[in-house]
Amino acid sequence: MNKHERVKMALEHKEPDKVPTISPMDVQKYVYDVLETPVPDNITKYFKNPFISKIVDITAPILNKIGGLEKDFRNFFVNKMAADVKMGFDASWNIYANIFRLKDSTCMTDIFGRIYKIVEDRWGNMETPSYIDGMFKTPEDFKRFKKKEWEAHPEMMYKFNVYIKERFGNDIYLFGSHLFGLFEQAWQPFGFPTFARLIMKERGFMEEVIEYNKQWYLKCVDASADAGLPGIIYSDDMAFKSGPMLNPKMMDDLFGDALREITGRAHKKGVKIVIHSCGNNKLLLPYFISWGFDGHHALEPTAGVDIGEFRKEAGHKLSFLGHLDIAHVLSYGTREDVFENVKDSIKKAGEGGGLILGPTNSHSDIRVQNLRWMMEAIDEFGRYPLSL
Amino acid sequence: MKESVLAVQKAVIELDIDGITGVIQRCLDDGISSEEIVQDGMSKGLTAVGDKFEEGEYFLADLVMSGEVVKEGMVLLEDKIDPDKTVKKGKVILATVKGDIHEIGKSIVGMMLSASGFEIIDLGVDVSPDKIVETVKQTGATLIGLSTLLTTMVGSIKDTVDAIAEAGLREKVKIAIGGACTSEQLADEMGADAYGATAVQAVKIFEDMLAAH
Repeated sequence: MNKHERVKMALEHKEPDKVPTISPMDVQKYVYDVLETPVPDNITKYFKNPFISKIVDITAPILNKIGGLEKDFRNFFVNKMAADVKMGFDASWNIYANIFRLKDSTCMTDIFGRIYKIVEDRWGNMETPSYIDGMFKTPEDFKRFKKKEWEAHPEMMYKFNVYIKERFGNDIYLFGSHLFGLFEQAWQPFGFPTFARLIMKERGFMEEVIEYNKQWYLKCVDASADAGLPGIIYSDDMAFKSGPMLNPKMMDDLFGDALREITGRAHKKGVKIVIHSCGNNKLLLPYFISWGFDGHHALEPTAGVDIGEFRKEAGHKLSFLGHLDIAHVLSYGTREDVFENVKDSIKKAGEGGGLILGPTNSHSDIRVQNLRWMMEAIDEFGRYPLSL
Repeated sequence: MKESVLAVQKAVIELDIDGITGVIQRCLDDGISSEEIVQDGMSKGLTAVGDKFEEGEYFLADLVMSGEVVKEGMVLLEDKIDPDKTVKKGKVILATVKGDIHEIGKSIVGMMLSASGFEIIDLGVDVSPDKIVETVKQTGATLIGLSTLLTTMVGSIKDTVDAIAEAGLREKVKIAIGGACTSEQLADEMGADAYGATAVQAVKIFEDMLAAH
C-alpha cells in the first residue's frame, strides 16, 4: 500500500495496512539533522551584530521590497518536505509562509496586521516568529491597512503548491496549509483585549472582518485544491490548556457559517480538510463535526487531552491526527517512553482507522532518533488488524 | 450592601461594558466611596467571574472582557481613590520568563490578584532572572509569579529560581508558576513553590503562599 492510499483510508475511517504518520510543522534542527546538512544561516542571524542591526532598523522597508525573508522561508519549507520524505512520513504538513516582513532588527510584522518578536531556538536557529500583538486598535486601523499583499497571497500560495506537488507529490501525501484561520485572523491583528472589546461593542464590524477573511480563505482553499494537493490543514488555535478561548456557542455564532462554507468548498473540490487547534478542544468537538471538518489535528497530551475520551466523544465522525507528546516524549523521552506513548494512542483511538500519528505540534528539541522510534513503534503496534 | 454597589457587581459579572460607568456614577451619587465601589463592587464581580470560569460557564474571552469592563469603570474612579485607604495584602512580582513573550494569562492573573487586594509589579515579558532579582531587592516583594507558554523556555524558570537562590533571597520569597506547558511536576523539578492550572486559581495560591510565609 502506498502512502497516499494509507492516509486516504485512515481519513475515510477505513483500516489501512498500518497507522499512518504525519510530520511536524516547522522545526529547523529536525529538518537539517535528517538532511545531514548544517542549518543554513537565516538572514536574521546577522541582526545580532549591533552595526548591522542599526542598518536593518533603517532599511527594513527596502529589505522587504527585495524579498529579504521570502527566500529563507521558501527554502526552509521545501527542505522540510524533503526531510519529511527522507524520514519516511506518510503525510507532510506543509505551509506557504511568505507572510512575514521585517519591522526592524528585533521584530517582524505580517501582511495581516500582526507584530512578532524574532526568536531563536537554543542552537541559535531562527524559530517561527513569536506573536506579540496586533497593529489594529480600532476599526479604522483595519480599514486603512493596505491589503495588497494580503489579497495577492492566495495566488502566491497556489504557485508554491504547484511547485511542491510536482516535486514531492508522488512521494508523500501533501497537506496544504496557511498559517491562520478565521478566529486567529479575527483576534490576533487586534490583540485579544481589543478583540474582546470589539465583539462586545462593534459586533457588526467584527462580522465584516470575518466575512472578509472568509472570502480570502476560500481562495486559499482553491490554492491548495486546484494545485492538486489531496488534503488541507485549516490551522486555527481555538483553545488553551483550560479549554476554548471563546464560548463555543459564540464561536459557532461568529464563525460557524463561514467555516461550513470553507469545508464545503474543499469537499466540492474532492479534498479532505482537517482543523489544527492546539489546547484542549473537547468542548469544540461537536462543532468541528458540524462545521464539516474531516479531522482534528494536535490533541495535545499536555493540555489534558485523553485521546480515548475524544474518540468516545467524536466516534468516527472525525479523524485524529498528531497527538504524540513533544514536551517530553519526542524531545527527551527514552525508547520506552516513545513506544509506550505510541502503543497507548493506537490502543485508545486506532480501531477502525481514523488515526494518523505524529508530533502534536513543533518543538525545536524534537529528536530524529525519537521520530525513528515512533516509526518502529507503529510498525510493531500499528499494523491492522490491531492486536492490542 | 447597597443596591447601587450590587449593580456594579452585576455589571462586571454580566460583562456590561456599556452600563458600567452609569452604575458607578449612581454609587458616587449615593455617596459611596471609590474604595468601596472597587472592593465590594468590581473586585467581588471579578471573583464571581472567576467562579464562573472555574465552573465552565465562562471562557478565557469572558475573563478578558471582564477586565475591559473594569478598565472602563476605573476611568471614573482613578483620581478619586485614596491610596492610604487601600490596604494591600502583599506585593506580587509577575513576569513572563526570558525567551517567552506571551502574556494573556499573566495579565489575567494580574487582574484577578489586583482585584483581590494584592499590589502587582508587572515586569512584562521576556524578563531576565537578573531583572526579577533586582526587583525583589528594590520592592521587598515576597511573592513571585512566573509565566511561560513555550515548552522550550521552561529552563528560564529554573534559571530564575537559581538566580534568586544565588542572591540569598530564596527563603524570603515564594514562587508560583503557570502557563500552558507547566504542571505540578514541573514546579517540583524547577524548585518553585506552587503551580496554578488556571489564572483564576492564582488568587487562592498567592493567598496560601502569603499565609505560609
